[in-house]
Amino acid sequence: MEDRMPLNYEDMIPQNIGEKHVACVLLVDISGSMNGRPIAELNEGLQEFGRALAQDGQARGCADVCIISFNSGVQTEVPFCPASNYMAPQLSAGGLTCMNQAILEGLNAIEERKNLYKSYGIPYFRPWIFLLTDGEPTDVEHERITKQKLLDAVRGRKVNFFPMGIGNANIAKLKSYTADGNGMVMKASEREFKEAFVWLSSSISTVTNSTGASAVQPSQMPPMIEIL
Amino acid sequence: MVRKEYSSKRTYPQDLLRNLPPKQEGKSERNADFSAFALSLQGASHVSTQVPCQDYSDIRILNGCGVVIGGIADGVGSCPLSHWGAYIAVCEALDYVEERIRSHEAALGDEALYEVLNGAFKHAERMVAQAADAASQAVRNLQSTLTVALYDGSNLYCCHVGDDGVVAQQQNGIVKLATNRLKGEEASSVYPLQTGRWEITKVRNAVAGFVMATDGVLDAFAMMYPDYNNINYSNRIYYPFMEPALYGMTDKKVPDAAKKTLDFYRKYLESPGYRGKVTDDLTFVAVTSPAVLEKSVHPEFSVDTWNAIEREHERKKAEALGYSIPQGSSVLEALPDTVPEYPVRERAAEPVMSSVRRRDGLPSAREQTKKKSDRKSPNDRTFLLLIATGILLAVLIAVLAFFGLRYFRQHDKAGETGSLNEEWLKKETEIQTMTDAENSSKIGNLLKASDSDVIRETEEELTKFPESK
Repeated sequence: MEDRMPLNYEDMIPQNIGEKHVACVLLVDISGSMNGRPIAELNEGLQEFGRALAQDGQARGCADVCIISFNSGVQTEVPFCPASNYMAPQLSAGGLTCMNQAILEGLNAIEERKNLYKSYGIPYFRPWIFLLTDGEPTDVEHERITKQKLLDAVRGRKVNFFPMGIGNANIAKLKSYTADGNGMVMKASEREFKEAFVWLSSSISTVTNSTGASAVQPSQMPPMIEIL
Repeated sequence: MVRKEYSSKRTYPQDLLRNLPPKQEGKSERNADFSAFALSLQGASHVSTQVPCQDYSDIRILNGCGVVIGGIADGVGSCPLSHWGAYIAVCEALDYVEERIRSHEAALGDEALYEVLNGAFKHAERMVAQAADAASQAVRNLQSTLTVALYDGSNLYCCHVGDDGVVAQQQNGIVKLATNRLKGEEASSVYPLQTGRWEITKVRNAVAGFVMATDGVLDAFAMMYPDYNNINYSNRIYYPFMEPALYGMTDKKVPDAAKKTLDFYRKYLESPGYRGKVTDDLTFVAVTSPAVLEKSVHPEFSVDTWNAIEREHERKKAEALGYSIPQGSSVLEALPDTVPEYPVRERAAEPVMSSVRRRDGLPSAREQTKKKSDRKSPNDRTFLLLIATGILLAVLIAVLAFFGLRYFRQHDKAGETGSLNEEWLKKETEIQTMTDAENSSKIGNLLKASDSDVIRETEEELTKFPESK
């Protein structure tokens, strides 16, 4: 009987069982109204985000991050990269608020990343979009198509969407981008919101460490962040 | 033949929240033809969170029927009573299949077994819904996957929904997935039994043995990623994992070989080495016909070749995703110059009676159409025969009408009818005379001339007749 069984367990399963990835896009407002304290807080938050992710071994290897900023245009500050390679950008404020185009760009980036996962047979969790703004979009001509595509993606369970308004952000406008127009929107002071990035990285870590055995829930929200 | 409606003989507690279903802590069976075991273990993550094992499994050798059946189910993680859903689904599905086979209501042909497996899944879905209703729970709280396999020593049939799977070892030495991974786009999504989207597959070639596993085990040895560089090694199945499960049960000198193999896998799946990599619930079932397995081709597999291909895959993946590979990592080792070709390249299961099903388990319209077009039913043959007969009759009537009309018009025309008839009769007589007296070539020429004359005259008659009125 014994000669039919392996002598040890080492060779019974492959060395590398495929890990599951999660793609996360951060859409950050760098319009003129973000000048001063808000942009400094944003830059610190992006650095905290990277530091928190780097401390989690699983997230370092499985979370893929992309930073897209928007003002009068849309800029991909950090194209999709592994969390282990993430370097926080230094952003400066100025211009209008092309939030709609930024959302469209974020959705495109996620689709491309998912296609890459599929082509290499990499299993992945539902991607995340985190949006931060202190105002409301000025590119209103893109609003209808943006809401349509975003809501299709959310309702079709293609993406998780987390909008956050700081300072004088138009919360009602942000809510109109969520499912049924009344979904969750985070709110924080324009002087103290970098903790949201720590929350974000912690939630991503939770996702990458999940086994699929139970539902994945984001981490608990820090006290300075309100849920509306 | 009117089939008796099947009704479950099981009862379930009304308070599902306060009660737990029986566990499958290990079951092995063996008779002269088959050897099998089933095992379900609570995953490390559930041990730490005190969530019951949401997997369930069972195997039954149907003595006297020449068949062994197995069932596994994995409760959906976010559903609080999915441990009950998994238990009820497996028990009810296997009860149904067993009853239908033992009652000999149908011969074990493809069509009959399709109906049995389809019926089993419909019954299981119904019973889970009833149990939920009786406990005043929403059905979604009991969602689970379900996979049932039926094996007669050569043929393997599977009915399946979810991300579990069956891996078959064919008698020709090929190892392959016998089911498709039915899940959504994301890693954590799955199609449960309640979607009604089960598939029925049959392995084309004769099978020597098979294993069934929920994703906690299946993901460890049945890779999901596609061919790489056109290299499909071992159909992406890491064979060393399942090899002991089948060959361990063939040892004739050991009367409880199935139990010993079960114990081996229990020990392995509970080991820190495995649990460090996989924290999900674990279910593993193995079934074989030892006599058949001994005579079958042993699959070829080289761990070195597998590892070399994996290293190359990892390297390419890292480059594409932007990951950096540490210097000196084994991933950077080059692929060998030659990679042995796997004997036969076979894709994963192609559903034989399958695809998206309606919620009531009945075939979709597309399947019904395909089934009808594939099958040559007696009704189709009769219909075609009737059409052909109708066409022939129509042609015959047309010919008769043509000659009849010509004859009628010849008799009806005043003054000319007689002469025409006489000429026609004369020609007919000549034909007959010639037939008697001349050779075949002359007869042929005469007939052709007569035909031309007859046609021309008839046309002239038709044109003239109305004018004369």
